[in-house]
Amino acid sequence: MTKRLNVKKILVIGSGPIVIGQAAEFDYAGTQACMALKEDGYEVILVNNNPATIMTDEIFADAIYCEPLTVETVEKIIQKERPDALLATFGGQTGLNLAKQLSEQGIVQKYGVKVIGTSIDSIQKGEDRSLFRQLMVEIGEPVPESSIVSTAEEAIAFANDIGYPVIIRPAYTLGGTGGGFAHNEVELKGKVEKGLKESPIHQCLIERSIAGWKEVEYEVMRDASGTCITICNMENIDPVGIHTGDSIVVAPVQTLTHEEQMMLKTSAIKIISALEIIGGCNIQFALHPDNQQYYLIEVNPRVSRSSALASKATGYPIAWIAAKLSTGWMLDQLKNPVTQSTFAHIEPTIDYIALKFPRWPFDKFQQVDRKLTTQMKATGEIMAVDRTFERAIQKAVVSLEGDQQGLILPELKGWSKEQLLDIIVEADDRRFFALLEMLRKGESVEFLHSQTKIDLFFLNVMKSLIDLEREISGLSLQEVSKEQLFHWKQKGFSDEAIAALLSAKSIDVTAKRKEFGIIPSYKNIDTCAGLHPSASHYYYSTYGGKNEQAKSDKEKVLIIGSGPIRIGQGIEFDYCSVHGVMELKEAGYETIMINNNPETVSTDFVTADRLYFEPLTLESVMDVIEAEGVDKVIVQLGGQTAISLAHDLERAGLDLLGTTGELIDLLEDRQLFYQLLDELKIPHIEGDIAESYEDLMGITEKIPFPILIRPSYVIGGKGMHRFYSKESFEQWLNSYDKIQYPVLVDRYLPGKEVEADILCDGEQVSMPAIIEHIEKAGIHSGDSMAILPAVSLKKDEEQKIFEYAQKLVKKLSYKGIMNIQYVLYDGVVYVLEVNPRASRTVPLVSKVCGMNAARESVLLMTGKKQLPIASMPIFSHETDGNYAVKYPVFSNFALQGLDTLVGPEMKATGEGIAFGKTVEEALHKIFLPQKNKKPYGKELYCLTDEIDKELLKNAEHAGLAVVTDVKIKEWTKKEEAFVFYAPCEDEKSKVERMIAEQSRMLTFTEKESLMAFLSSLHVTGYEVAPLQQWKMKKPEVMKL
Amino acid sequence: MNGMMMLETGESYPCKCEHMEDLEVNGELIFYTGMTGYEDALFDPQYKGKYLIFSNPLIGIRGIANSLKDVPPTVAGVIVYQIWNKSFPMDTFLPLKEYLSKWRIPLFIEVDTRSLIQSICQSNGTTFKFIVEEKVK
Repeated sequence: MTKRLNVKKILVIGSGPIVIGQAAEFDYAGTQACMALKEDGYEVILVNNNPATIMTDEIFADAIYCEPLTVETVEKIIQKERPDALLATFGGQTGLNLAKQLSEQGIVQKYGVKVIGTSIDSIQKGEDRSLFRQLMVEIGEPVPESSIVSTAEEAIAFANDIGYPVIIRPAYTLGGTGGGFAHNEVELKGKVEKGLKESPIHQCLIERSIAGWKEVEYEVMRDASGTCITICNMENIDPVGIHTGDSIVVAPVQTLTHEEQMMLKTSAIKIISALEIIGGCNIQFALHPDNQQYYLIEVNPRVSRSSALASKATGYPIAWIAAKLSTGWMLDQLKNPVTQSTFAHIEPTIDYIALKFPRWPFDKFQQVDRKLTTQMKATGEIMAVDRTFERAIQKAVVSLEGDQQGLILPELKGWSKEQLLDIIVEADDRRFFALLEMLRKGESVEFLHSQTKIDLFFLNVMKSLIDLEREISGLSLQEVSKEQLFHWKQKGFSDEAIAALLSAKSIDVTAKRKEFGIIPSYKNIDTCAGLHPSASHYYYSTYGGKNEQAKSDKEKVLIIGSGPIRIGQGIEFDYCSVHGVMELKEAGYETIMINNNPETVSTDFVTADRLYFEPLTLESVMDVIEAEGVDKVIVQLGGQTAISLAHDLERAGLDLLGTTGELIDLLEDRQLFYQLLDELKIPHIEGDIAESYEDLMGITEKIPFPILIRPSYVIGGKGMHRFYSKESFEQWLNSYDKIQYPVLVDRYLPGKEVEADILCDGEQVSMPAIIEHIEKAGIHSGDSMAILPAVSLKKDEEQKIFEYAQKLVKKLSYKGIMNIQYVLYDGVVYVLEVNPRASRTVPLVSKVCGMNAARESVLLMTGKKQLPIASMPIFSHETDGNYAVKYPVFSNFALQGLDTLVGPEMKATGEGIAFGKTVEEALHKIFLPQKNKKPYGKELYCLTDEIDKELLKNAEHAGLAVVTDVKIKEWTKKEEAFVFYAPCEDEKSKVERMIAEQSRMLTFTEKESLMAFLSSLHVTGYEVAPLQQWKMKKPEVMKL
Repeated sequence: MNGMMMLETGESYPCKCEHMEDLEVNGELIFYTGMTGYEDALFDPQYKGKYLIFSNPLIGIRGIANSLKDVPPTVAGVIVYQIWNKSFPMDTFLPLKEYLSKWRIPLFIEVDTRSLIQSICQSNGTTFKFIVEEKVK
């Protein structure tokens, strides 16, 4: 394609580390934008400090700045690169806020940078409540009565005027942070005060509550000539009152009449035209269920989570087209990339149902308030597609990878109707399952409708599923007819769910189904309901109708994706899957991707040769395998989700490239793992398995304290406890009556923790870098800061680390990629854990070392590449002057009730990276936003029994005044208040940490993290440079 | 009644049929790909006398407004994948199936409407014949 805009260089702003409300959807949008710009020949400069993103790979931008997303840093980048244009509508709220500040401070004007796409003026009109309201009044679009307030008193006066309930919406915050409903003055006062604190411009909007109305969203696009089209409309099953990110959402809208739909569409087009958007825009409406009255709820003048969902739901790539529109293309000049036979100005039409279901973190955080409000709490989401609504629901439910069996959530069994009604009315994340449970108990849809305002259509669909459940459970497998089984499959019951209801075995149900010839058909997602031929291979399964997918005779590999983003399994696995696909494509394989996460690059239909939007269950994966005739599968790249399918896939006769089920067991089963290490003479930490109370007592006599106790199967450190003394252990034991045996007991060594991602060819090992954690062992690796390459290891320690890795690989004949975690204590190197898969740190290592570990790993798995013998390149601090520091990013602001104390259980939702000539320079960049926020900050408040001398010295040296006896609430309001240090587990510390979190106070709970911060205070300046300049250049060959 | 919808091109689609007067029907097909708007499409003069295929897989969620129940549709028949049949919150709506039954409009369900539309688009053939199962054998 050719350039439409007479500029050379375009600066694109990314969204930074993943937090609740701003997740992988911006990697998808940003990657598409970069591709669209590069295709036209522009030079793309990208700033984004999230290393786990695909957009920050060299193939997508000419210069990548993994630098802090602050105004001064971006100005430095502009100074250095002198871009002609700035594109800010692809970096979520972070991108918009930055662009707004850059414009307000005159920086874009100073350097003559042209803001392309939607103008700053339009962004402000969409984002600033009063400007937006004024514009809507001008064009006659209804907005709920509201008032912008800067104090709690103003809010109360307004609410007294219009009446309760009201909604509080802080201005310019992520995912509606700090918002909520208030039913009376007391609630309002508390929430407004909090909201004002959250808002960067200290404003809140107080608005008439329209809770219970239908919530409908429109994804609209507009080009510079004024042509507008709607890409997709979506209906929230949960009415207004629950953040759309926490709602179950269906595309297209289901329960609106044609008239209502046309009314809202007309309004949406009027609004996008009045705002003069160029690109994409998300518009949310509240519609009265009966009388066609509607209000506008929100406008996002940028691509968003909903636009990612709409893109995947329709096939129409909103971000890609939006980037083209930003550079002057018109909709009717662009080919629709899906069909390749129609143009982009034709509105997509879909002939199936796409359902989005949120994935919440409450399975890990049981202490967190799980009520759903206007503050988003979900960390990720899944999408399910089918021709029947019922099967879309069931596909969505199995994709959650939760505890539910079929449509039953076991924890709700035995709940009374009253208890269930509580979590239905005051909705929490279990609302959907509670509704099903109520229907199972015979409650009427009319009653549930009256309590929830959920449309009767949705409730009736749910009831029909419960009726089918009853029908199935009244039968035995022998008497099931072909027609019955087909009907159940059409309505989405998995073989496993049918088996459970029939009291039969899942394999017998599958066998009978195949005997009857009941297999799914695959339909194409083509934006045009089959009206035009489509060039893309983007499929979903359904029961009934013709199969549109035809297998090729090429050599093929299936890559299993990692599903919804959750704490412990984030975007980094999507990064690995996508790179695996790209490398295999280049190596000549036909790549087949299966995944269910609509936010990601892996589910972009241009990524793999063939994309299946399906649940990651054995049944769905096997169906795809059989339809495609696959015999090679990669499970190493899709996190624990993919690993957990390994055994069953192997049993079904598939080749799990590079690994085996037996090998995975050997590493994941604690007993077998320790035996293996003993055999290889690799030191491991003392540990044992307790099968009973007596066992546990015996073991704790043998193993010296401190100890770690955890359930035998853990992901992300769930349910792990650390005890420093026999007393605290016994105290816990007495207060804890439901220990589920077996439990693992390990000695806890407060040593140095390091880890490495290694590439292996079955014989040889390549270890690109050793990663050294700043915090001591015992802090989950996902929650600790880490330095690459390791700074304080001795040569012989590095050698041991390498040697143990090589021993393991040789013994296991492992091919591909694995992650090994070590503890160094008292001069001994211990192997802590081996994960036979790509890990969280793969993108990090790849970026720092200037290689691509995920890509190399697939070549090793397929045997297309072998590693050189006995000369292992390893980067170390002596060979290269630069350092990278990885840091965790938390979303504690969204999760009320969560203690911010770091420990063995992971709490971070994302991570960032910073580079420097010294570790301190990199650390300085990490804390830059907090430092900017507190120009007069000079007090360090320590809440500890006794203050460590070293710490005191370092604090003083850094120019901080240590305070100990303060009232936390007052202190956080002082402009001198800077840092809070609270490492203890007692109740007072916990409460104070939560208060500090509410005022977004920089808080540390580990001495090492605080010391790292203190060391960064000596740094005054810093350098920005592209990744290409920071990454390591001189590999040192390690002699063995 | 179970039966088979046969296109002039030779392709056939199994389906079920309701409100049939005869055991065999011949007609001309036309399709509608809007995601909402079945309420208007049924009365569209340009579909007069034709058998209307809906690409949206579930039709009838909002029924037919009572004010329209005494107005006959312009279409000769309706072809869908699934039809929504449950009751509605207000007595101002009539289930679509009941409305079609009232006017003796043949309703074909469980049709792979996507595939049927694809066939029509590719071949430009629009006539079909529906035969009930007993006659197929």
